Amino acid sequence: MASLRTLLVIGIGNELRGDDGVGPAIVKALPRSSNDGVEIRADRGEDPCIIDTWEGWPALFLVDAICAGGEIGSLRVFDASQEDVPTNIFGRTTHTFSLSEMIALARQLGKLPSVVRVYGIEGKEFGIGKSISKAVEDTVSQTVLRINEDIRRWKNA
Amino acid sequence: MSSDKKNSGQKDSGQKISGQRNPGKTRTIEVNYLARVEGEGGLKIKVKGGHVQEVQLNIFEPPRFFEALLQGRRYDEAPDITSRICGICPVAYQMSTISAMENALGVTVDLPIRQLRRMLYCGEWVESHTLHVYMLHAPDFLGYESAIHMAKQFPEIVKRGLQLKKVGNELMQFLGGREIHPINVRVGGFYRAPLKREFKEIVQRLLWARDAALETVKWVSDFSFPDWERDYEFVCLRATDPVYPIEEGTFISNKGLAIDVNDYENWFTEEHVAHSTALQSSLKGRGAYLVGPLARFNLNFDRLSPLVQETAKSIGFVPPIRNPFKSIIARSLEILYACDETLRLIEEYQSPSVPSIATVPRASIGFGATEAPRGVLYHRYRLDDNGLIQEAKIVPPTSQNQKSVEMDLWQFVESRMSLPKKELSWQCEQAVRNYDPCISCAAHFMEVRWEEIE
Repeated sequence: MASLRTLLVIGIGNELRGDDGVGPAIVKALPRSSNDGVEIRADRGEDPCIIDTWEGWPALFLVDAICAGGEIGSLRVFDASQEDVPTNIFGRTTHTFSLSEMIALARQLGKLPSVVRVYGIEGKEFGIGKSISKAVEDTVSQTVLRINEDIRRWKNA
Repeated sequence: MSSDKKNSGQKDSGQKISGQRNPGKTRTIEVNYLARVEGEGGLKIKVKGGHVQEVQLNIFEPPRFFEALLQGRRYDEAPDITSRICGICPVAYQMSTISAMENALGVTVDLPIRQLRRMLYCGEWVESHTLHVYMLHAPDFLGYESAIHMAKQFPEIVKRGLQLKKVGNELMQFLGGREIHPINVRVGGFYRAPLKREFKEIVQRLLWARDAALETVKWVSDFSFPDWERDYEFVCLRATDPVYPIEEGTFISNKGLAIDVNDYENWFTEEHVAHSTALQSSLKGRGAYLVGPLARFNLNFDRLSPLVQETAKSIGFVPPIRNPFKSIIARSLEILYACDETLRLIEEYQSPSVPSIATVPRASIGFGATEAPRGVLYHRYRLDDNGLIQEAKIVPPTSQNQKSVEMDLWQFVESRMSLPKKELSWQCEQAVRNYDPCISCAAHFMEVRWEEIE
């Protein structure tokens, strides 16, 4: 039921392309509870129709790889509720449209939830057939803890 | 011109920039991809003294990795593996795989299975073509940097595009069990075949989609197109049944080619070129050729449904069309056909007594070719006694078109050297996108660089 929806969490990326798979890997590791109105899932991020699935949720957390020149595996959190996130750092991952473009399009078409938070994990290796690099892998559990804590706070707010 | 217009999005780099003809100097146009993996793709055009010296298109080629991955795997695992090559056209990879495997095992499936496969494939044509027409190519013609910028002025048109694409997704989900990497497909048929009455909801969606596709054709036919043509060798399939080619057929061209799928490698060759990690295809002794919507439209116009033929004629779009920029119209007509054809197939469909037929492994070689949205997709597999894959060969449409894209750009730039650099760069990007190459996924991140080298 729509009234039960509280938060949608999506890990975006392609698991066959190295660190691009960090978004799906993180959401896979997030603990799930039933009937708490939180939906957690992964998406390859290749289809702009994904923005239709955002519509109607009060809040949206997106987890994706970035290339922003930071320390490999480090986390940057963006509040995209009012402003778009930088195209150049998300545009370097392997999706059809970068996440920032999807957010901009959803905002343009009135499909964006009022609260949008983006978790960007600095990646290094995006080659096909590669697995997540060790430097990124080493930080996954820490990032999972952080996002899980944010989810808990959101539910209790 | 709005500040959103694409020219404002062009970036220049390098200290010495000039759009003027300058004999004696070398000008290099580089179209780089910011997205995807660096070093995997790019476009470089070198100009000296007003003439093109070199065109190099470097494309991404995930199939190479998958060919290696498939070795040693069971024949019936292959459709699930190859569907992961592309998130936009998983059905094309599955269908070419299945076609080759059934050819290897000597299996022929019944009509309802063939109908379901064709419907599933139509879903992919709708979603993939609509993504390209609305979100990637139309902004080029209308002067917008991207679909997001286009959405500011035309939100209803962009919404229509997304809805139309979604109907394609829904059809794939309904028949394939999942819209990305369909899981209901197997060698020999499907895991589950739907009952006729289950189509009720999707029929309503397709009726809307057919109207929206008709609007799409009218919309794109009003765009203005560069006045430019080339004498291509168009290559596509010709279906055994009197229908437009999608999931099977034999190879034909407008220059006399007529061969069976298992003869493909006797006529076509793949070669390494120094500038690209990908293999470039050509017709032996004849060179570049073109696959995709324009080839299919030109060589199979008589096989389109009456509605699509009439629509094409009403906008004055009849074969032969040799202007690659008009591929957006052919693509839109194919969206219309895919909706119309699915509605016809649903009407004829009667669920099969069994959803699939048994397959028995044997040492064999199988060949398969189907029409992916962006052109013909060829697969060959060699199996051992136990059905384990010993060798896999996958030739995607993008590598088949690579030579044609380079030749287009060569002649196109040569004939437009006097244009301001921003306009010419834009038209170069647009010319690459005419082919809806796999790199179109990244094409809106293209950065055009102009350099003048002493």
